[in-house]
Amino acid sequence: MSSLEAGERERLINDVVKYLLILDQKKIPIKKADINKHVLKESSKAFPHVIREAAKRLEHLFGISLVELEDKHKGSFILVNNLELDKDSYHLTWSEEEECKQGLLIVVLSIIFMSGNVVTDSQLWSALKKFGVDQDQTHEVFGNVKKLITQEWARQCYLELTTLPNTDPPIVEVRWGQRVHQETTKRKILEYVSKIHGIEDVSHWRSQFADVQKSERAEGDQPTTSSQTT
Amino acid sequence: MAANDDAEFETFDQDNDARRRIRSHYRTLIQDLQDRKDDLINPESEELEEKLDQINEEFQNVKRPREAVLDSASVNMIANIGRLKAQALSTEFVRFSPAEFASRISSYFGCRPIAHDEEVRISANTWAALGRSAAPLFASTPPLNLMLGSFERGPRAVRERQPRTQRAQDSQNQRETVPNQLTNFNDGDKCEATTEEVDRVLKILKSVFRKRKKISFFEFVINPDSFGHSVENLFYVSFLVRDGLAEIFIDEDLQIPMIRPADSGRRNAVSEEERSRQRRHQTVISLTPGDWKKLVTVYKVRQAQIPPRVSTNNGNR
Repeated sequence: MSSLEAGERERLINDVVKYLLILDQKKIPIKKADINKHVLKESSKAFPHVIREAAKRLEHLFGISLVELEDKHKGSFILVNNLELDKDSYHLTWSEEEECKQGLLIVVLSIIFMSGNVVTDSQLWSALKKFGVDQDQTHEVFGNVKKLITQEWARQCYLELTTLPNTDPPIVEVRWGQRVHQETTKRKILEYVSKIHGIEDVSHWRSQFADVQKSERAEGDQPTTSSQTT
Repeated sequence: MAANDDAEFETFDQDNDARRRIRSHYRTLIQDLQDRKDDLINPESEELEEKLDQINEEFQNVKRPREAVLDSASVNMIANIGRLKAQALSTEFVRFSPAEFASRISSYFGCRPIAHDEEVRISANTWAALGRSAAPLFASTPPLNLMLGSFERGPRAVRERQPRTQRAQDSQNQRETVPNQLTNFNDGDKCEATTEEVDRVLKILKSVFRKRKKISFFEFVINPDSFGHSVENLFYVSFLVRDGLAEIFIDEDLQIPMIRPADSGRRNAVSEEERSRQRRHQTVISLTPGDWKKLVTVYKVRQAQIPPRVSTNNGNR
């Protein structure tokens, strides 16, 4: 970074901030390689410093956390809203299309979590039939649901699809994607599902509740991953 | 199967249609077991037992091995599903029922409460209401949409517009200027040709003057062989006179017009005023072919002092 002037440094950091905000529109994780290619270019060596400063700015100005994903998606980033969100003071409005998708998403995520964190794709589709959603039919609201679930949400890291090797016909396991783990918690989903069922005490769902407690204990031992960068 | 040979022989002879029906029943049962496996596993459902009863009933009609095979396959499936059901019972897993969830959602957000077994139909409004209520659970960032588009797209649009308007303007100008340019070229050609000729005549005048010191005007310009060339020579000489490069004067002794190149020495000596006075003299010389013939005779012009150009447009011979 010392080889760059202060003005140049400022420009790069701001450009990265803008780049991240704009690419976030699609909700697809932003790759480090793309940031280097399109924004930093010759100054790619400065990436660690620039990304750290950009993260600080996003936090300070927008209340947005820059999170680096792990494992399969290592080297890509997502933006997570760090403002205190509360259903009573929820300030964001979404389009009707987005609201509907959100509705289907909560159903899918609930099915996955309440069934023990993983389901096969056939189990998922079988469950979705109860909601009037069929993978082979164009849905009046969602259109090509199969594409939405297996492609769009998988790319956006809302879902993680793993094809099991050596299976015929191939079995696909569906789990929560890394984005969901960043954007919400198991407890919140359990409480929500409970509410819809008209059940006040979440401990009614014995194994799911135990799962929540286990996860919370594990999280307590680890430092948070937000704004951590390589 | 009866041990009695006679009885066996009797029942062995079964109707093909009947057999087909039995096989079809079994296949339907097996398909149903596969399709609705998840429902059958539900510990709270008694359907599996019902299926088993159905199969037992069907088996009463089975006489031949082919159907019996289908029977064993179904029983096998029921046994497997039964095992899974037992597993579901024995764990502390409070089974989450998607069907129940769907009906709860429909009644929570929809218009009316749904009975447990009723087909659930979730409308677009219900999906939207569901999504709205679930939104606060997610710490998702609202997408940033710039009014004028992201910075990546901006410059490109502007660049497209500029060339277009320029091109429109350019083509207009071109259309207007093309005729002008063409005519200019033509004039230029003429001009250049004339200038060349004038220079040539001047050179000839100077060289003749060096030799002869006195040049009779008409002798100089007349070409005895061509009227046209004579006129041309007059034309070029008039340029020389206009530009002050040659002078026409009346010789005092001979009383005929003479021509001489205007040499620089003399030019400087003459004052600006005189020079401008001189330029103000205008003469129109008309020359008819008749005049030309007379001049040739009177001046006894044998040979053109100004040789004609090699390439001529008009051959007036």
